[in-house]
Amino acid sequence: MKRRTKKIGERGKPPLPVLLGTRNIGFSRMRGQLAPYAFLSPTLILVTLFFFIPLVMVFILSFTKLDMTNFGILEWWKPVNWSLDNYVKIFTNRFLSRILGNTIMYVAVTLALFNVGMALVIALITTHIKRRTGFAFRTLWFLPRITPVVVYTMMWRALAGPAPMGVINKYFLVPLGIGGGEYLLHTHPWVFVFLVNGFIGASFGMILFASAIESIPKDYTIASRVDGASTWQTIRYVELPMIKWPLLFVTTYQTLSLLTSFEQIMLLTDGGPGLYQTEVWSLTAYHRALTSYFGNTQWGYGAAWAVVLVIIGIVMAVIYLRVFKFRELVEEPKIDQL
Amino acid sequence: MKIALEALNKHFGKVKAVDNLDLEIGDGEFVALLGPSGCGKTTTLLMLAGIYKPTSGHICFDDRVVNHLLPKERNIGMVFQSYALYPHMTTFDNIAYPLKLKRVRRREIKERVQKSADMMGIGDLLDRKPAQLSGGQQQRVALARALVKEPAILLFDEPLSNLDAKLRLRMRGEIKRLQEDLGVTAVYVTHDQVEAMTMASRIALMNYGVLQTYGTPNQLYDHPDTFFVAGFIGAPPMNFLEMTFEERENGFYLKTQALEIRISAERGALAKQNDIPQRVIMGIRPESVSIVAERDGDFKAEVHLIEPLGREDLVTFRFIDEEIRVLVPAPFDGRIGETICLKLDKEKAHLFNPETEVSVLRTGNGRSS
Ligand SMILES: Nc1ncnc2c1ncn2[C@@H]1O[C@H](COP(=O)(O)OP(=O)(O)OP(=O)(O)O)[C@@H](O)[C@H]1O
Ligand SMILES: [Mg+2]
Repeated sequence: MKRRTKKIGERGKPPLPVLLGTRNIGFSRMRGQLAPYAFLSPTLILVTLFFFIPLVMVFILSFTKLDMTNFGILEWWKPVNWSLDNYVKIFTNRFLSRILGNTIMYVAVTLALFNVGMALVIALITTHIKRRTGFAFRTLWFLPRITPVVVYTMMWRALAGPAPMGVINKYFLVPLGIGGGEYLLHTHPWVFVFLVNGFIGASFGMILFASAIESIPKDYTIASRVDGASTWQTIRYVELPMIKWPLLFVTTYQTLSLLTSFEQIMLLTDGGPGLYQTEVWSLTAYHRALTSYFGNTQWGYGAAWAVVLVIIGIVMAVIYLRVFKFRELVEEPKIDQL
Repeated sequence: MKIALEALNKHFGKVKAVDNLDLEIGDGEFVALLGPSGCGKTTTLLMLAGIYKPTSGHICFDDRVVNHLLPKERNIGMVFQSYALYPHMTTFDNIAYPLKLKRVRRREIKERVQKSADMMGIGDLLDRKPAQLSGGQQQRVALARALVKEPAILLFDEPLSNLDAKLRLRMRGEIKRLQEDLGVTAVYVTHDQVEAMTMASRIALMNYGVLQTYGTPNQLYDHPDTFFVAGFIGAPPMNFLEMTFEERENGFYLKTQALEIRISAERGALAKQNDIPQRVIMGIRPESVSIVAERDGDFKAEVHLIEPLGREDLVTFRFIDEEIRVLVPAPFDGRIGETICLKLDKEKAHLFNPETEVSVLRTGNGRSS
């Protein structure tokens, strides 16, 4: 990296011919050495300020009892004020198993049914029909992702509303004689948590899978069909194995992003309607740190929840890389004869 | 299996990729589809394979119309220029794939894969992935995969274009021998005329989706019936001169500013019968022109360029504002700028109507003499 940039500095065309003069070699060399850092600096500053420092702060805070009542009094940066109490509190919390269970269910179901499952199905369907139709459909499906999340979630709340206002009740369930027209978010909160997250989540995988499928050279699918495969067999034996890499990527990436996403649930049910009924881990962290029934937002305790979540995420990522044999995917083929 | 294409059309929007194609291929025959890039060769092949649906017309296998049959119902093997070996499967799995789809029993699959792999000389590469094989080996795997289900028809789409010249020559022979041994009908797409000439029993020459001619390599070479065929077949290509046709009391003559040749009464009469216009295009192959002593010559020309080809030299001569290329036995002892006498083998001259681009020397059955 450094060497390459240096070369550019020395050999690259200066904007003015006068810079080619011998007197400028020294300047140009210095410029060559500093240039990479100059170019990197905006990103470096941003990453340090908004990613690295907060990360360290959250980590430190998780060992303290900092909250709104002792803010400005507690010297949280001093190791004497650090303890594992927050972590003990988390693991002795009597709602821990419910929150953990909710989180696992939320991530697993949304991921399997929507973010990967439905994404793959849509990608396959839209790449096996007329190109333009497929493209138009995918574009439509992408809209929720670029809609502001509040608007999008409120739309779902309106859809789920009780009869006669709620669209689903009024036009589908009541005419079909299903249910009593009650507020669906109260009767089936999880269904809506999955749907609201899944419909947005699926668009990411859909775009990636569709472009991966479209970039498979036509010869492979033609060969497969001449070899006697049906469309489904071609998908199963040729196309899916060839998009293994995007599949791994989307699964891993979406697991992590689902683990940390809570804004839709917060806007939709805020963890309710029952006690901790739809509360997931990241939402708990948010609740503990930034809102509180007692008015004392517990920054330290919330940070501890967040740190545990980060550790869960890292463990998940490592497991995925193992299961998908990531090493094999990036390994160079061994050639002993040409 | 016999193949017959009847008034076959394939249009992509406004593009007529294949335009009203009629073609008959005998059982066990090796036919080459030859033509420049974009002339519709691959499209024709993919219609045979059942990938593309014809816009109109019929495809018949053994007198049975197969237009509606899916690829898997056609019993076809196909080899691609890109080999199209599935990169995630080993050689074994690649070759076994057609059998697996047919639900052949495990043990039989193993035997048949081994057999066709051995036939192609890749029996010891079965556990490699395609990325671990050389181009030539990949080509053999692709052939083995096409052969393993014992197809009635083999389709080739420029299978040798990615190989180096030496290997190409060898594979050419191997494919031909294999096809003859198995007695399988083969359609071989290529834009390499040497490949077509050496391998095929008949060549279908296409241009802009239209079949130009269909015949044996010798027919196409010796009696091209259109200007396009004459120019496409043969390397180095045929020379063309624009000439004037004249009938005099003592015979038929072709004239330009620089030369005048007399053609036989027989050929002259045939040309007249075919409504030869006054201005014609005369075509003559580089090997049908010879260097002669001054009194025997038809015309004089100046040596412009000498290109040694090994056994022969290709010499470009200039006269007035025309050019003619001649194959002379090597070594050619003339020098550039020297004036030399040339003679045309009049019986080997071809005459084309510049308007219709059709040969005026064709006999009643449509073939030019
Ligand atoms: N799927 C398609 N959609 C639209 N046009 C196509 C399609 N396939 C082929 N064509 C057009 O049809 C014509 C014939 O194409 P084809 O692939 O049959 O040519 P070819 O003879 O195989 O050429 P090459 O030697 O370059 O492979 C070309 O003009 C091509 O652009
Ligand atoms: Mg082609």
